[in-house]
Amino acid sequence: MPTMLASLNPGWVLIIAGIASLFIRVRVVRQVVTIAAPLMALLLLVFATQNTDLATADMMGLKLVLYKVDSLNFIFSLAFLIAAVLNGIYALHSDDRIQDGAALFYAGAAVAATLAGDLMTLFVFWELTAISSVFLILRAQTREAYFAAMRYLGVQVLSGVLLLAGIAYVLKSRGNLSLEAFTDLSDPGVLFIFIAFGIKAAFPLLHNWLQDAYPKATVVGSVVLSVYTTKLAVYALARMFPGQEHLIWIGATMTVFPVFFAVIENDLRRVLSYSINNQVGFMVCGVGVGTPLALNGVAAHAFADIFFKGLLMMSMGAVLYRTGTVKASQLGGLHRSMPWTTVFCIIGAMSISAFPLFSAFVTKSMIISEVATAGYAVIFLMLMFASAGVLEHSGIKIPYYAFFGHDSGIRVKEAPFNMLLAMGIAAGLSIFLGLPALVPGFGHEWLYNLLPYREEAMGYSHHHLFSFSHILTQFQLLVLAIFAFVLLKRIHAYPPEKRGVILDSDWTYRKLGYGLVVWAGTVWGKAGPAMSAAFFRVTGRAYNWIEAAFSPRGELARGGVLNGAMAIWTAALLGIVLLLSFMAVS
Amino acid sequence: MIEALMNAAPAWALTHAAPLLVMVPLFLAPLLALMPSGRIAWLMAVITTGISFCFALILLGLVQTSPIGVVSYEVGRWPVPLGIELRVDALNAMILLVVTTIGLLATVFSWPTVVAEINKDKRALFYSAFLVCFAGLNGVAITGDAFNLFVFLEISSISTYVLVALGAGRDRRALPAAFNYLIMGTIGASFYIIGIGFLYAATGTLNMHDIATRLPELAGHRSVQAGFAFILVGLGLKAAMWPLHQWLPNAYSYSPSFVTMFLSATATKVALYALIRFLFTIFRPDYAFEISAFSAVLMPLGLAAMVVCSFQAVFQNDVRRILAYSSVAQVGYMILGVSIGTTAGLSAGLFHLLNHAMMKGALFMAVAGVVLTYQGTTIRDFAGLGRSAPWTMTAFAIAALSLIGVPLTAGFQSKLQLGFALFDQGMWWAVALVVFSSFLAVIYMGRVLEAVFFQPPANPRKARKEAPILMLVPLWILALANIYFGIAADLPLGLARDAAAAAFGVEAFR
Amino acid sequence: MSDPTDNGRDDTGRFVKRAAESVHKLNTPSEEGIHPLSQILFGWTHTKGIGNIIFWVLLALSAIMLSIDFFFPRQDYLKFANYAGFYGIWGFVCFSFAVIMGWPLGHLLRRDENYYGDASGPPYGVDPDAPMADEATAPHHSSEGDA
Repeated sequence: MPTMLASLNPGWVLIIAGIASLFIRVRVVRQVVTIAAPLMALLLLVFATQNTDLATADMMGLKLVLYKVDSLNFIFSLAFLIAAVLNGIYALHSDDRIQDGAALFYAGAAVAATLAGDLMTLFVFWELTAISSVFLILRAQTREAYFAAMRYLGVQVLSGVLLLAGIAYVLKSRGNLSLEAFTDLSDPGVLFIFIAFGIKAAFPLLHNWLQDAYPKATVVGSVVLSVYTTKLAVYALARMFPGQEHLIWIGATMTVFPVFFAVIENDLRRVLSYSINNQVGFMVCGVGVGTPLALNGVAAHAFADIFFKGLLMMSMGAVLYRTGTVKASQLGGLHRSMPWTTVFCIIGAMSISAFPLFSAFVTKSMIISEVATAGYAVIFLMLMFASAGVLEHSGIKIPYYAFFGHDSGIRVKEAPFNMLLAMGIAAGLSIFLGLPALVPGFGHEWLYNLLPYREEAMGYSHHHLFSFSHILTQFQLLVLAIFAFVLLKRIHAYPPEKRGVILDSDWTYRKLGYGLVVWAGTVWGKAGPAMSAAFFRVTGRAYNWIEAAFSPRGELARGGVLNGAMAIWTAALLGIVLLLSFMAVS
Repeated sequence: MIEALMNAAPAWALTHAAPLLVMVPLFLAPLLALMPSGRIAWLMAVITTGISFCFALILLGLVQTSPIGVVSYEVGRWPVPLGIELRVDALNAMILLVVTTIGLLATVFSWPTVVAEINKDKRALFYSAFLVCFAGLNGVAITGDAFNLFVFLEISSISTYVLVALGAGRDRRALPAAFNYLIMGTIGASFYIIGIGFLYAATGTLNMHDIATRLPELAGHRSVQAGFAFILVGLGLKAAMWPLHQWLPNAYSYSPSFVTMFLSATATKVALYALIRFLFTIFRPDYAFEISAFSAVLMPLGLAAMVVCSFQAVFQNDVRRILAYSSVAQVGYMILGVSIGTTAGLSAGLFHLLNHAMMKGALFMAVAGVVLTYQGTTIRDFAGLGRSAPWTMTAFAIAALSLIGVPLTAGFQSKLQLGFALFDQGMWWAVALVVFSSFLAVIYMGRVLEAVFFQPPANPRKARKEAPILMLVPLWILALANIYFGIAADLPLGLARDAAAAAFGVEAFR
Repeated sequence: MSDPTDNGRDDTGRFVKRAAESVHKLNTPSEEGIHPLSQILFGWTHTKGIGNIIFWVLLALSAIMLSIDFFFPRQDYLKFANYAGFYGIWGFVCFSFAVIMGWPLGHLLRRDENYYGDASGPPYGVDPDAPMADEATAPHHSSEGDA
């Protein structure tokens, strides 16, 4: 391969294509670009030499590694690029330059961040993902989407500046920007970076930007969003904080708490946002365990998740596109008019629920098995709870309330062909990844071969993955949980879907914070003048004295044109400086 | 470019570069007032600022090649402690370059806005006043004499009051704003001259270099400390140091667009230069009273400016007022850098000064373009302009991103340097405040950008109308400079580092 | 291959045509908006008493699943996971718990849809033919599209 191409970061191809498609007015040309660019980037990535600095730059004496492929970031960027192709196909029915451009740019920035070889480059593209992705939300052009986008941007930029502050600190203490793993969280710089990653990975209490913004994006937008930001954060955590024990508990909490919210949530895209949270929790937990097999599990689960979560988002997007809503309380019975979408959604639901022969079964089990091996009993129980929970909200609730259940009477056309095609490919991948290796390298072994610790993965695959007891226990969990659903439905113990918004921790700033600001404004409006009056009384004497000293201006101050407060400030400041100078010397 | 210029320049230009830089605009100013037509006055102003720009480059070259890093010129051949000395080192060479560059770009760009905003018979006078102001600012930056600095400060200030008042043609509120500015500016100047009086009483000299050498003997002298306090507050007022900034928002909002643009990028910078000159070269950062002033006055005020004025900017609805309050906040960054008291801190402050001149220059130019074509400065007036004036607004967006401190822009580089300097002193909480203030900048610039690019035009009949090419070229030069220096920051950073070293004393130079 | 007979082409043509027709028929919704494919794939869900059938089938399946455990002891790392029926019972309990918690949590956390005061219509990019959701007709914050 020519050297110029060899050092061309696949992410940049997408970024350039993204910028270009903002200006391409001819729809067909733009459609070709949105699909050809990720394909070309895929080729570049697959043929890239691994473990060498493929592109470097110098900035102010710091060596920046712009492009470096190794076994960990290869699999993440591969998934990102394949997802970019699928997203391109999924968006073909729409004719929107901004959406196409932002989606490509966002994907490219995520890939470039993944392939970055130093912290500063990571930071730059980290910020670019934040800025480009906000357009996918803004593009929905509703009032709530606008406000959500602004909140989203604020949180994402906050993550960026925290990362930058951390990097500056680490650069001072460590002297380089290398992507060496951190071990000590007590260093403030490292803690900044940890929190920055945590915001993007949507750690508990830092999570609500996700549920706030994703469901309000455009049809295509939420599909694209569901792929990149959180998985990029998972990659960054796996790169910089493997084996960080706090992550185990954080991850386990992340898997559990969204389950409760998802049960009562009415907006099905928001349910899926909670589901993202839940699945990322498994990955974070795996990063925390940090053994080779656990990290394999993280990479593999991220890979699989990108497709089955994308598939579920696509199916809900198709429903939204055709019916204009994804509220569970308004939907139902859509399998009558959208059977293809129903089938794909069920495949996605079975994949995310980790049915044997579907993708999550071969990926999530690596993480859970390592947690059990390491002896974390409570964590293990939490993860099993979350597995049952995932079955509840993504496996059953999504397809049941959208496509079955009570017939809403909505009759629409089947989803557009391009959507079906994208869903079909994603569904095919989700099944393919879960298949046993009928011939070596087929099915899940194809994925296992790409994992960072290939040997361990293969050992797991041969001895445990499709063992009788593994399949049996998984079926026990799932079948009994489904039975619980049927039973609860039968005795009417299942809470009905009701309209309404569910409060989450974003309440603190959307209601409480906003209220506080309003309240403070009112208080300030009353207290401000009172305080000024007090201040003026106290300083009155000094003021008189100064006025006497500078009488012409004192006269003018009473003339009313001059801003009297400022003259006082000037005098007060002079007094302070004088006092300080005298005190400091004597 | 500098070498080529120095090789091409005749010998007299090299020896007399320092006085000529100031005198050419100063003496041409009355001539301009007699010009029959504004257009000729404009052309002459362009040529004059261009000449000054060349001299600034020459001076920079001379300083860089000089073995001691100082170019000294005795006016009228009077020996130094008695006569007036023009003394240029890396610090004021940098400031001169900023003032003349912005002056040149601003003058080139000014014609269309002056035509639109100034009465026909006043245009020549307007340019005359501008040249006086320009000469005054350069004089402040170039002189090595403390009293002479006061004279130039007043020359520039008085002409500035006139320039601001001329905005009355567009908005009557320019008159009270100018008057307010006059009062405030005079207070500042008086404080300064009182301070100089104290210093003169203590040292018996007015030459800055001379004062600096005599001060160490006078440790504990009350009048030195009093002089310090007066000078700090007086120059702080001129530099719009919070809370002495209150003249600035009105003055910037109601004066003619061109004046706003020029002043925002130069006037406060020059006053800040004078402050730095006094804080670091004349007084020393290791004097006890200066240490306490740094930690107890300048740093809290700098931080307060960053936060309070950013908040105020968030609640403004007029784009020019947003930018004006943002200017005060940015001065806060510079003061913060200065108040660290280290070379790294000072160079970060000066670096931000350079970058701020670039970004505010570009922002106000873009606003001036909008004022010219769409007659409005509220955020509502800006709605939808991303479509009707994409070139102007893209440059505006670039400068706005730079102001926020987005990576790959100049603003990012200077905030990075500031952060490094703060970390060096272990002041990570101050870094947190800087970050917070940038976050506020995201909000106030974000409001404007959102209106520009995402809202439908308030008046749908707005035609597709760009600013004239004469304005677009300087605007884009500044906008591209923001990006260029955001990627390759070596040049301005080198200038700032040299300047900081020079401020600390010639010995540290190189 | 290079020389297809008329007959062969005809056959192929007719076959392709018939295939295309049947595909088309499979994908053309009936007048009531019912997709023919849905009858084939999911028609069974409309069977009378399907709820009962599913319930009993799942009950039987669950019983079988649990009883298998008595014959095949496990050797997991965590001891408590080796008890017969652990996974099934844990799955059942967790699922029921999560769902039952929906009642109190729903009362606690559910608010009116316009609680934050920013509710609005469906996003941009929704099919222009989509049936209007009954009350989501709040003023659509639209602007002239860029495309």
